Amino acid sequence: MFRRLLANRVFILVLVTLLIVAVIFFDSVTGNPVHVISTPVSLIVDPVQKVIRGTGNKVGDFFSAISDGMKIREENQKLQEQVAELQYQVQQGEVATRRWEELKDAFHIQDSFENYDIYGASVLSREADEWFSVFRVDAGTHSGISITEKNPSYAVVDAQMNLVGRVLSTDLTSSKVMPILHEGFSVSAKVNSVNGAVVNVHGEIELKEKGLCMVDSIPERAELKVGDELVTSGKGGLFPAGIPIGVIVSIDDSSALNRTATVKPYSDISALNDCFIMVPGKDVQTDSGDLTGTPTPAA
Amino acid sequence: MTQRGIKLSRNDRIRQLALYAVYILILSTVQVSFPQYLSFRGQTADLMLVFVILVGYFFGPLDGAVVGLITGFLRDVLSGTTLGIGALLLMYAGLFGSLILSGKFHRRAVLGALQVFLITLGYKVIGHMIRYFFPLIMEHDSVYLSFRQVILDSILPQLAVNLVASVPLILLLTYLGPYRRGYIRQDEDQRSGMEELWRTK
Repeated sequence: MFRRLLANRVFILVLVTLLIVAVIFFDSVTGNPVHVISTPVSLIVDPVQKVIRGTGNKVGDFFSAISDGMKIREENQKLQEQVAELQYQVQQGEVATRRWEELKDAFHIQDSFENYDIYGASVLSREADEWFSVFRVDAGTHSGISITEKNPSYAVVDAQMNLVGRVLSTDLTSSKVMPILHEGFSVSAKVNSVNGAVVNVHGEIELKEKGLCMVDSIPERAELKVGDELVTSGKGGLFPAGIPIGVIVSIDDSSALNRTATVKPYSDISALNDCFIMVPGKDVQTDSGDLTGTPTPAA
Repeated sequence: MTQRGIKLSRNDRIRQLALYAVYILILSTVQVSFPQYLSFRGQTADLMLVFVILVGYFFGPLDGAVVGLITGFLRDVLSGTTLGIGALLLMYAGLFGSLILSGKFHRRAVLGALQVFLITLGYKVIGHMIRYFFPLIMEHDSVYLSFRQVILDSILPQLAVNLVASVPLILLLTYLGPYRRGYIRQDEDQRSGMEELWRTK
C-alpha cells in the first residue's frame, strides 16, 4: 500500500508541500538550526556567483573606463588641488588625535565601538524581487559570525560606519543581512544632539521603493525637525550607540498622539559592495530588544 | 524526469540534468547579482520564476515542479528571510505552468509568453493578498500599499519585465534544451496519436 501511495503523484505533492510548510514554521523559530542546510548550497553557489559577478563587473568596468576617461582627466586636476588642502587638514587632524587620546585617558572616556570586533565582508547577492529582499555577504560561521541565543544578530555598517542593517542568519561561508529599508527591520534611535529624543526607526513597504524609513514612537514633547540626524540609541543592546542612521526628510504632525517622520538612510544599499559586521566582544552586554520582527516602540 | 512517456538515453539524461543545473545556477545568480540591470519601475525581472513557468509549460508537471522546488530553495538561500517560502511558491508556479494552456495549445513557443503573463499575474496577486492578510507572518505591520500602488508600481511593471525576460528564455529552452529538439516534436507526435486514440473511443 505504501508503494502504491508513493506512486501516486498527488500524494507526493501533498507530502512535499507539508514538508516545506514544516520547514517554514520551524525556520521561524529563533535559533533554529534549519539554516545549516543552506551551507552546502552556499558552497556550490558562491564560487559560481563570484565568477559571474566578477565577469559582469569586468565588462561593466571596461565600458565605463572608456566613457569615464575624459571625466577622469578633469577630475584629476581638481583632485590635485584638494590634495594640497587635505594634507593641511591631516596635519591638523594628527594634532587633534593626540589631544583626544590625552583627554580620553584623563577623563576615562570609552570609544563607542572599541569593544566590537569588525569583520569585513563583500556583498554576494542582492534582492531577488520585492518580497525576497535580504542580501547575502561572504562572511559566515567560518569567519566567526555565528547566530546564537546570546547573540541573535549583529549590526552591519558600511565603510563610513553608517547603519546598513542586521545579520539575519548565517551558514558556514555566508550570512544574510536584513537591510535597514526592509519592512521587518526595526531599531531604537535618537536625535544626535545632547539629550536628543529617543524614537523608533523601521522599514516600511510603502517607503522602501523611495529609499526611506519610517520614524515613530516620537515622544510627545520632543522637538524634531527636518535635517536632524538620527543615530542608534544603544537601547536594546544589539546596535551600539552612536552609529549614524540618516537624516529626517519629512515630519507628519497631523496626529498629536501619533507623530511620524521619514528618514533618509545615509547608506546607499543598492550601491553597496562591501560592508562590516560588528560582533560584540566579551565585555559587551547584549539583549535582543532591537530584534522585533514587526515595528514596535523603541526597544 | 521523463514524465512524458519517452525514455531518455543515458547521454540525454546527463545532458538534461547538466543543463537544468547550469540554467538554475546562472539565472538565479544573474538575478541576484545584477538586479539594477534587470529592473523597471522598481521591479526586477524574475528570471527564476519565468524559467520555472516555461519549464513547466514546455516539459510538463514533473519537470516544472522539481525545477521549481530546487530553484525556489535556491531563491530562499540567496535572498529569502524564511527558508521554504520560495521553494513552495516556485514549485506550484512550475506545476501550474504545466497545467494551464499547455494542453490546449500544444505547448507552442509563442504562447509561452502568455503563460508567463498569467502565472506572474497569479503569483503577484497571491503574494500581495498573503502580505495584506497575514502581516504578522510576513513581518510587516498592518499598513500596506494602496490598490493603485499595487497595480501601477508592482504588478504591471513586474508583468512587463517578466514578459521581456521570457523571450530569450523561450528561445533558450526551445533551441538549446534541456532536451534535444526532437524530443518535443517526438512527444507532440506521440500525444497527438494518443489524442486520436482517445477520440475513437
